[in-house]
Amino acid sequence: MGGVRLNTKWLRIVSALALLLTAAAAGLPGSGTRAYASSLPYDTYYKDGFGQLVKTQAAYLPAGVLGYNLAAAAADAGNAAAETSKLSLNQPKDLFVDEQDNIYIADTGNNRIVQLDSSGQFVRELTVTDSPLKKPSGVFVNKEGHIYIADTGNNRIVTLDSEGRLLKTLDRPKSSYLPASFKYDPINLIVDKRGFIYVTTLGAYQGLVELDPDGNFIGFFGPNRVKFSVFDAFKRFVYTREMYQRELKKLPGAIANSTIDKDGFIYTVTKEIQTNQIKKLNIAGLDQLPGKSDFASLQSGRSFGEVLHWQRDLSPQLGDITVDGDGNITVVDTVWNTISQYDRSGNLLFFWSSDTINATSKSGVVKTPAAIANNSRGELLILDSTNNLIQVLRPSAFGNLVHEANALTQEGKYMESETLWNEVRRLNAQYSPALIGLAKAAYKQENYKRAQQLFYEAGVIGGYSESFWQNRLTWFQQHFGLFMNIVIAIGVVLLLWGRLKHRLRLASGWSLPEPSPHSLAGRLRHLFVLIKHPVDGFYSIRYEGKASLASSLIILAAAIAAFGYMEAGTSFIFNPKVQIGIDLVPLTAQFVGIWLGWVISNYLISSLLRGEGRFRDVLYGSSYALFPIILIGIPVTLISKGMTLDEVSIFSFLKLAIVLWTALLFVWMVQGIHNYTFIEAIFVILLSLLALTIIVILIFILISLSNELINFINSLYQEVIIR
Amino acid sequence: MSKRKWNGWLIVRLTFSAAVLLVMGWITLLIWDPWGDKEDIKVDAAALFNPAEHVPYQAGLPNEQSFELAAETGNLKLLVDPATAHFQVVMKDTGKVWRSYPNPAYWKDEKATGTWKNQLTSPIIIEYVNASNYKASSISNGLIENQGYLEDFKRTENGFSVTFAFPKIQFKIPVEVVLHQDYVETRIKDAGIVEGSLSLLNVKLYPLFGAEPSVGQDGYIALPDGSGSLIRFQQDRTMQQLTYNESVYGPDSSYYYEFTDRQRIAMPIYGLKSGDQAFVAILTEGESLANVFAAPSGAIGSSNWVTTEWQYRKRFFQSVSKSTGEGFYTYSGDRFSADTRASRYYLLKPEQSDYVGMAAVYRKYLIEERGVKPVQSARKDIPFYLDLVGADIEKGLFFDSYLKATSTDDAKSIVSKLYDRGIQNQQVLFAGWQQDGYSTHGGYFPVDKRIGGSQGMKDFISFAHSLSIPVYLTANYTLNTNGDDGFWWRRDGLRNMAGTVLEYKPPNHDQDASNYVSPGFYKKVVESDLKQFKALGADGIDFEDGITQQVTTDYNSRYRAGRGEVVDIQQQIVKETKQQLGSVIAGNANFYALDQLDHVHRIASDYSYDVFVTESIPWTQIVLHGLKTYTLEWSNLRDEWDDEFLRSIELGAYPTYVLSGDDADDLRRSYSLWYYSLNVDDWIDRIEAEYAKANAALAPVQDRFITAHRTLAPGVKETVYEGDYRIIVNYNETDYEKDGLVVPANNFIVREGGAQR
Repeated sequence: MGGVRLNTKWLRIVSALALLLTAAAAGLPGSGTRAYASSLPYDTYYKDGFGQLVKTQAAYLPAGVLGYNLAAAAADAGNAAAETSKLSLNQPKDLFVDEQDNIYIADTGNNRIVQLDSSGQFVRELTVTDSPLKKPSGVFVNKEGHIYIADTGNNRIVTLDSEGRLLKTLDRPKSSYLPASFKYDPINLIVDKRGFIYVTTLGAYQGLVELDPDGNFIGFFGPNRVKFSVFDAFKRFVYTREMYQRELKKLPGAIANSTIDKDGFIYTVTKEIQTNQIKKLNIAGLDQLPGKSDFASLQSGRSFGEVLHWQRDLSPQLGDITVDGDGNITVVDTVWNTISQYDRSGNLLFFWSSDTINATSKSGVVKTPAAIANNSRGELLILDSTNNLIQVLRPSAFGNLVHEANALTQEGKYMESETLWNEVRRLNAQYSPALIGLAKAAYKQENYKRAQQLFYEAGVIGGYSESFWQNRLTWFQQHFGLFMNIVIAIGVVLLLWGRLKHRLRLASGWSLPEPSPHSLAGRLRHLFVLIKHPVDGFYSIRYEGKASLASSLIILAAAIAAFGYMEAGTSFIFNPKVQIGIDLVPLTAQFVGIWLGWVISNYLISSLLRGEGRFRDVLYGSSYALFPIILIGIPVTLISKGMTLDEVSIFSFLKLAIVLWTALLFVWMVQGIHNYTFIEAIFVILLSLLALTIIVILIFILISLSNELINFINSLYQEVIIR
Repeated sequence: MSKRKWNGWLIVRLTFSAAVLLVMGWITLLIWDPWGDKEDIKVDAAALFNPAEHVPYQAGLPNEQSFELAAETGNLKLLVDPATAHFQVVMKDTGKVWRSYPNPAYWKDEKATGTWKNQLTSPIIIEYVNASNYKASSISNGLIENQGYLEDFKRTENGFSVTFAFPKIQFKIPVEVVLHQDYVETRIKDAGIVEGSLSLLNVKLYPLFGAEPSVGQDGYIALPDGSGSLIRFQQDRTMQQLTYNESVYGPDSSYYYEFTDRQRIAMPIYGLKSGDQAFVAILTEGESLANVFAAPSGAIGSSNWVTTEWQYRKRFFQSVSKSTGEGFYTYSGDRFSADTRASRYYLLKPEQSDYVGMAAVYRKYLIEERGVKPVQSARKDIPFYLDLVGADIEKGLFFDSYLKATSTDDAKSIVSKLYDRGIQNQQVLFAGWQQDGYSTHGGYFPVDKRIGGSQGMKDFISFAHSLSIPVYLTANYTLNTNGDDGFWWRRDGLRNMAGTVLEYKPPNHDQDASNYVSPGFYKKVVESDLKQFKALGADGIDFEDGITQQVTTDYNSRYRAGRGEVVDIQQQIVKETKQQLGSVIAGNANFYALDQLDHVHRIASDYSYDVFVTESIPWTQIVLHGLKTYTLEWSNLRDEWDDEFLRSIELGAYPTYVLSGDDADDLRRSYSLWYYSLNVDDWIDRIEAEYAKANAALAPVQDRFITAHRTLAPGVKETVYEGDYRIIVNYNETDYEKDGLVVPANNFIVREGGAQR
């Protein structure tokens, strides 16, 4: 009872202390930061394939506000005495910019479409008087100036000609493929060159609704995939049919918005999914983005939409997407107030984010972005549905430079991009796209050494591997002569040795001394016996003393060193983490910890199950069983430094061989030392692993509890001191 | 045996009960006492008010006829209306009138109604709250709602004094208005303030002084936001309801601060211009306890007005749950008190009625009354400020790794490189020299061995001195990360109102937070370190990010200090540094330290991008040019490479770069050195070219004040120095041509005195 009281009391004290110590944040403004890059209300960053964050110069700068308090001529203009009223938007939901930079706003709250010209002056408003709009939330204008409106309140698509006259009304498509329960709420739409309409409907997880120009249902386009995790597979395996049916249906995420570029690629953006939030779909509905970016090998299951804060479980909620003339994709995150920009292959270029400020509004920051669009000057227009205005962002000198350079690189014009990337790199030494661009240019110029170094700095495995391959080829070509000489020389020596061995030995009666089996050297030589006769070798460790503490510790130390060497020494191509730096201490600590835990748990279990091995035998055996790590591991690591991605199968095979061989050796060890059969050995190993898990859990509990106890005593001591 | 046991038990029980009785008695005494005093105060306050004998304050504007002459000087006349305590100031030469109430000519178009309208005509607006009820929200109103009246209206020698009484809420606030040669000063006498059971939060005295509505005239409110910003008069503004309310010398971290992401106010001034009538207000006393409050037209009333909001208590958010962030608002206990709180309104002549004229008045005030001596530049070339970074640390699993950037030998070679390229008037600011690099604070000395140690630093400094280059060492004494210097965060940390020690959290959440140090403590540390700086031969200290920038009320019981005391402490530190080492520099310093500083480093060059603020103006630069040397942010950090170079020319700022040696470690994951590109070899060509251009333009005017600054056309700005020396900068992509004057695109030209426009 006393213990429980103590628990709650120190829980309160500890939590109160923690509360006090961390409650300072509300009052601390940005003081203490060392340098303000600029006084812009947002900071611009870049994140490389390893997730390392790099601050960059601003890519876009605030360039004014549109659509607020505009003089709007009354609907019946032409009347000389017409009053100019003020344009006031009301919860506008969508924005579209056509090729002449005319801005069309879906003014949802006022049931109309408003058109502004390229400088933001009011041109006209479109309310379809014949068939009034009701809460239109999407607008699209094709090349001829025909205006397509997603009339959400009336569940239909309305088409107007360039004068604003009603052309067509497309109601809910009738098709047997559409279930009656299907909710048709068109919130956005895009139209391709043929006039086919792709409608984004609210909550449609089947994808975009594709209609032909007359409004007939063609099909669903570009759905997302359902994520099926291991846990789901486990549920499926374990649950009964009734239980499984009661589980909530796993549906793919519903597409939030879509856009189309001048080449006809359709881009969709989805909110609730964790990966592949942006899709670039071709006419067949296949996503073009996966695997194309420079860091594709590092990022399987790519998550688009960057999030700045270092918290787990924060997923981006992308609301809208726009594509510019170069194919650069810009997405806006409606919840975390972040805008991310990718190039046409899906490489991240920049993202910028601002803190949520309730007390005021800043130029260039939209609190609840409803839509984003591009104009021909490369400016971004972001629609603020709460404050009913449009914020305009213009590209900065740095942003323009990067766009230009990257466009050239994406088109393959590496040489022209080089001077531009050099300037970018001078301005920001850590900006990886510059390094990648320069690496590709170097590769094109056949300066493979520089290319390899730059690819390494940027962390791009594919490029590094290819440059390395070229360098290796050149190296072989240069040193071929030397190589051949060495090979021939060795061949001759071996041949001669083979012939003369006998004669030499017989003549001098000299032979290699055989070490005695009970000396250290002899015990180390026992390793080679283990290679050929593993079970007998382990048996002799138990009953014939073929191993000792010294030899085991030497082998263990060597295995740890080899393991460390494998982790840190493997070539970058197979071990990308090397580029950011590997901390060996935690890795080797884990290795040793698990090994020790295995030894203890195996001894405990086997002693219960009539195993004949003593503790020291298990210890010796387990360290001897690690020798494949030394034997194969070190050569593999050495070889890996000379291999490229083309030889990845060899590398993987060898690494697999290490694992398999070590596993088998452990089985044979248990078999040999404890005198089990093979099946019994496997059974004992499984039990030992279970025991190991339990030991680990107990240790964790013990550590955290004693930690808490120490903290409590410490804080108690400090309280006393203060008083 | 049993008898003994029984006795023992009895003794135990007796002592135990005695102890318990003693403790209870002591606790009772503790609780009983304080109640006695409170009763007295309550009785007093109510008795002071006798509304029956006074006329309650009337709504509406004062009667123009009832103004009497209260004081007169050579330039100005002060008229006051005894019934309302409003006043008018008349400039005798031009006849222009500044009123302490809204312009009567436009009063009929006033759109505000009810209490808002009454507040506009009240000579004082107060905000107060019932602090004992934690759910209560604060109320803001003027004299009329509270049946206020004027008490003790007296003419004084050069003005008048009056006490504003609010009987309903039991407040009395005595104020004084004094006319001087060029300005009228309003003061609040804190000692005479009377409070009842309610708590006074802040006071705006004569808020509508000089207020004018937007009726199409050319006018603006000038604010000390960043480098300075203007809210231009406009009929239809974007988001009209927003106002500007920021604390002078920066927000106070010990209280609740509603995050607005605005830059700190370094100059305690603001101004308003309407047509050719303008005034600038300088907060001269008690300014660390003031906010600048600006309400452009449509925010509160149709007039544009800007005033000082004097703070008496601040809000504080007391969180009760760390996980849910719940909590409640409470207010600081006792009133902040200053000896006196004074705002001066300087009235400007028509030909000086713009922000440049306002800056000139403030500059004159600094020279004449604050002891700021204008800089005398000894060299004919402009100075180049070279910031070097020694090293930083990167967070590791068990140990932080030390990332070396510039050793003292590297520093020598950088200085020589620049010297050989023609940049001879350099000033070196060496940062990151301390033990464990730039982000480690506490126990700075000795200089870290890995970049050369104290000997290496001494050698570098003497090498620099041989080239007549001064070397400053950068230090931030307001943080402590390692507990050195005898700092124990529990005893010496800067505490907020709840008693929590304030922490600086790095932007990367994986990095460790560091504790803020109490001003009283860091004063001692700086004083004891000064001799070590001297031993190295340093020419001075560059105070970065703390001293002269951060004013935070300290609730640490050992070093208790209000904002005014913190300002004093910092001024003393700067003064002592100057005395002992000869020179001192601070980064983006507040102007209370200006008299001792020789250079202000990296000052703001832009505004805070609020949607309702129109544009930024180089107000601090106009005040400072010719007075002290200054630079903008490090040039490597520019967002727009060409444009910001032009901006530094326009603002008369000297070039500065932050550089490291060419053999620096990868600083990507360091605590603080995220700067884009530091390698000297990447920049040296640009530095040489830009220095040559900047020197050619700015060297002749190093000691001259800026006399005019204007926009000639969109994207074309002109800065004029004494002696009619003009620099015209063109930010556009096309050339600017007017009257034979051609300014090429993305470039600037210089016109010396006498040349025709």
